[in-house]
Amino acid sequence: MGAESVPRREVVTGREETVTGRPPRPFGGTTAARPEPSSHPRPDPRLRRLMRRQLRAALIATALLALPLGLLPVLLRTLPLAGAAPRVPPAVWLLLGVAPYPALLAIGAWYVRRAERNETDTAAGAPAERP
Amino acid sequence: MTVLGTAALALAGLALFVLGVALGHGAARRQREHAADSDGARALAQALHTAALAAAPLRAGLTPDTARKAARRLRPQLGTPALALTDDTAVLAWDGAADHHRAQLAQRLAQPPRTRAFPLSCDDAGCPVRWGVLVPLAADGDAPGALAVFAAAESGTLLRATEEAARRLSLELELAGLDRARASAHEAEVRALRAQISPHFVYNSLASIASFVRTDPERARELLQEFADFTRYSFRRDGDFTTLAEELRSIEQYLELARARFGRRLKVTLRIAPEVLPVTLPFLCLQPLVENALKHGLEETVERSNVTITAEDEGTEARVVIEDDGVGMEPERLRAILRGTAGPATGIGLSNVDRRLRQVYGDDHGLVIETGVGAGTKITLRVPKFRPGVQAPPP
Amino acid sequence: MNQTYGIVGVTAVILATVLVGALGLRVSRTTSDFYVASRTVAPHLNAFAVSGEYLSAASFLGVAGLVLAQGADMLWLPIGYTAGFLVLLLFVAAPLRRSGAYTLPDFAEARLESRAVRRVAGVLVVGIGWLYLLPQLRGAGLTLRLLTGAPGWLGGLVVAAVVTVAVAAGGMRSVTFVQAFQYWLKLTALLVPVVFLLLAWRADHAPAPAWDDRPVFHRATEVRVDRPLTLTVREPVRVTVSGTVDGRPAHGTSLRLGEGRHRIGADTTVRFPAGAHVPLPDRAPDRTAPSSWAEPLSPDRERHSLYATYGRILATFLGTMGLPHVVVRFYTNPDGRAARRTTVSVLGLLGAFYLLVPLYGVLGRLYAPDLLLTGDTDAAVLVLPQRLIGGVAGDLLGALVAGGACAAFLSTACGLTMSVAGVLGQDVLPGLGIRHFRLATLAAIAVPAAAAAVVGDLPVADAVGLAFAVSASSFCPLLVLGIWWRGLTPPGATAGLLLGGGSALTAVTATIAGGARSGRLHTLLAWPAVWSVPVGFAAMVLISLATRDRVPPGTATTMARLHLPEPTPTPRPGPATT
Repeated sequence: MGAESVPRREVVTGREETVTGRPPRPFGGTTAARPEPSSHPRPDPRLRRLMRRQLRAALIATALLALPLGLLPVLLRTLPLAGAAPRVPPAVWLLLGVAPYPALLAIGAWYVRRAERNETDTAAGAPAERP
Repeated sequence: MTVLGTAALALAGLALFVLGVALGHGAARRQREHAADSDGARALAQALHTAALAAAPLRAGLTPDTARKAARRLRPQLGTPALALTDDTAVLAWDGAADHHRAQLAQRLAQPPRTRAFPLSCDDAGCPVRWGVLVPLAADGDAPGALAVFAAAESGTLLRATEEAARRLSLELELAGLDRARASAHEAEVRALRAQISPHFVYNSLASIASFVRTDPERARELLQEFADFTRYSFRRDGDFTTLAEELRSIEQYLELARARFGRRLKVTLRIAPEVLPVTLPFLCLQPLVENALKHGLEETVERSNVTITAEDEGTEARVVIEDDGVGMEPERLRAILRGTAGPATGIGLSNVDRRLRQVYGDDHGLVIETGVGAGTKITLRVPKFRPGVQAPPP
Repeated sequence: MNQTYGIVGVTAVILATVLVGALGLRVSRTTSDFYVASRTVAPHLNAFAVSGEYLSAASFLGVAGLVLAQGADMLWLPIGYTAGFLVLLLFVAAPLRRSGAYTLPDFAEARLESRAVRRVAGVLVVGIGWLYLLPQLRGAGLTLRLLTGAPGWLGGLVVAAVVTVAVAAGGMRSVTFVQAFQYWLKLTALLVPVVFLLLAWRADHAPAPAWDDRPVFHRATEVRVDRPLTLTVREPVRVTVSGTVDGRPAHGTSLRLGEGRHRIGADTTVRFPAGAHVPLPDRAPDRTAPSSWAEPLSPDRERHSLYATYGRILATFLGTMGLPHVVVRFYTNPDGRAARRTTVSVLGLLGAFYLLVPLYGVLGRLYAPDLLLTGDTDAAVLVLPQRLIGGVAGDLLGALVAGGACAAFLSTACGLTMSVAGVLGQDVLPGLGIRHFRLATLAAIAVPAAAAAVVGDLPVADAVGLAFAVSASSFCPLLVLGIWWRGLTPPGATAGLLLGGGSALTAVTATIAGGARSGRLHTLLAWPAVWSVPVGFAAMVLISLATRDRVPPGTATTMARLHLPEPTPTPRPGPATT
């Protein structure tokens, strides 16, 4: 088969007569695609409760993260063992170089379990009430 | 100044430049136009512009919020101490002084809607309004509300100005009604496409399932299950949008049924970048394209057919390509189909998908089809990863 | 260092990246694997990709360099880089995914229903992206200079070109697989050499390093000086020199460097004996001498380092959630729960990586203190295998490390360029249209490449810290308040972004430009997060309260979407259910 027997394709679009200079329509140009204003402007109490519980979990985890790590620089400064230079005690290296990582992972894992449980509880309370 | 300083300045300068280009572009254009025009034209343009600006909020319908915005913009133009917008029973917004006449105005709404001028009285000696005019707003041959303007003394000019303003507001309300009508027409169109699994497909599927019932009951059972799943997805009622993953899953079921009929003649290749699977897109907008590819690939020829479905990541967009090596289409006929002038019953699926994509994402996101007689067909669509309001319902 | 091995290592990484990128699409030809092809990315795979994209030149090279120069204080950086993901997990991950947003401007528009806020967010994303790209290209320049001897700016340009081609030509079609591959490459490139390095260190009787002002050459060391340099020698030392010292040429002769300052000419090799103190480069006020970036801190280090530490902690803890290339990866998750699981896996993956990095810094202090002299402390990771092991084994390990470093700046630079180009094309220069993504790609990388070529000595990890600070003071308030507070209004968000992000950006620009070199002002400007994060939050809250009537009408609906879980799909309903 020769190359000339391969039929050629042509590009077809729906609206070639569209003026090319016109910029594309801005996002969400249609009324249909806009989110409808909430039919019930008062927030759902169940959502409120879920948000509060999730926020509480997040804040507890933040406290677990921030209290030890946040105080550590001050402690290291004030405690005599960290008179720093020239030889930093191995304990400080372990405290800063190793210990935080398992702790971060543990806090994260705890939070994920807690958050998913909160969501499951809410979903079990009343199914399929998503807008 | 050090090298560092120069570099940082250059960086900051470039950032400013980019911002400037974006913001200054429009301003520069306006200024150019401004310089070229005569004073009279400029004054007219200014007057038309402010009038349009005042009426614009009502494009979203007549609500307390839009009425408040329109009243606030309209009052300085009419130069009156007080101005109010009402619906057919209550005062929605009162802008300016002398709020205590609100109840008096509300009483007048009970009367049949037509233009009325009326005197006002109250105990407040310093009250700036003594006279008012109430002009009904008209839309769709109905009077959904009224514009009320108040002044210290009777004035024919103000009466005429109020009537003009009311006419402008009515126009916006009329447009708002058209918007609503268009939105519901669009919704009806989506519904119409949705229900449209082709009857041929149902018949052919059931026929090929029937052929397996005796020879391979297990296969028949599986196919029936696929058929049930496919129809369940197609008849789904909630939401206009779905995810690419869901849409591909339904195509999988569709192809499984098609394969039962065409067997080895059909070869389908999928090339999917997994990061675009969560992309949201209009419900059932790929299935008609695949159906089209199958139709041109198999139903009109006897040979084997290859169909390739590709989904790729392109930054802020996903690109989906459906290509077949079938008989192709005549470009002119395809153009007519997409324009909707090809007559009924031909390629409704294609033009409908095209129209829905344009409606949701804008004109530059319609289908791009490369085809020729005997050259196969390649259909490309580009779906933005995010568009406000475009969100898939829960699966 | 043997150049051939290094070049082979880097080339192999580039080729592998392009190959995985081009072939990484999921291909299926039979219906049985159709299901696999249409399955969304699993959390662990996505976690590899997130980590791969996140671990940049700053993590791979910069942290070890800073530890080498400044010691344990610098361990706060990797802690912050990791903890940032924990904060992201706690407050942002699942709701961000549920918002459906792909980029940060998308989120701003989805939540606040305002195009103006979207545009401001877009400009900030571009700014942060450029600030973050700058050190990646610098790291690239450094690596290529060490490998090939090419000038630093050339390396940055080469990488910029590779990234442009890879991104614009569509070579990154399947980013997830590329980035996941890069994570394992980087981890391997650190893990394998460190085992050998530690064995060599033990064989050397496990000496302990010290962080006083005057590090010591643990072994006899030959130092190659590329650029002219002035040193201060405090104790007389006998060295072997080839090149020029104090204007006099020397050819392998033994010289006694007396107490005081000495000028070493370009292309000079100086061999110091074991036990000698490392002479430190002069702190020339005009910065003509390449300086260690330990320096800006040194004069008043004691006084301000506590403030600096907190500045670093705040910036990295809160800044991660606003990094453009991190956020776009969350879109790949199918739902909010997957987003959370991805993030928690990332915590583990990053932890594993950052356990290794400080070891390089410590070993570098022992075996490569001359880097303090030349100012190339960022090169610690790269030179250690050669120094400690040597021979073919050292060359091979060196090539592996160089490949890892290459992966580090390639993956981050590609991810950043893609997200910056997307925002540039969509929000900042919308007139260009979507089709000009390639042009946007060019703009996205050309600006930082030009800046990287001009900016002389910008410490890799510090510049990254500046990007974190800007992100923490602008996008952290936007995301946290946007997700958890119904009262946020578009004017409030705009004010917060502009005041918080703007003030941090100004401080950062002043720091890079060298506006204030020392003292209280410098410290305030160099670590702006301590004050600019509260500024951002306060501006957003106060202005929102003042414009209470502008709360977006769809807020209740949006909040429900952000927080309510997606119902788990029911696989196949029985015939009885409807």
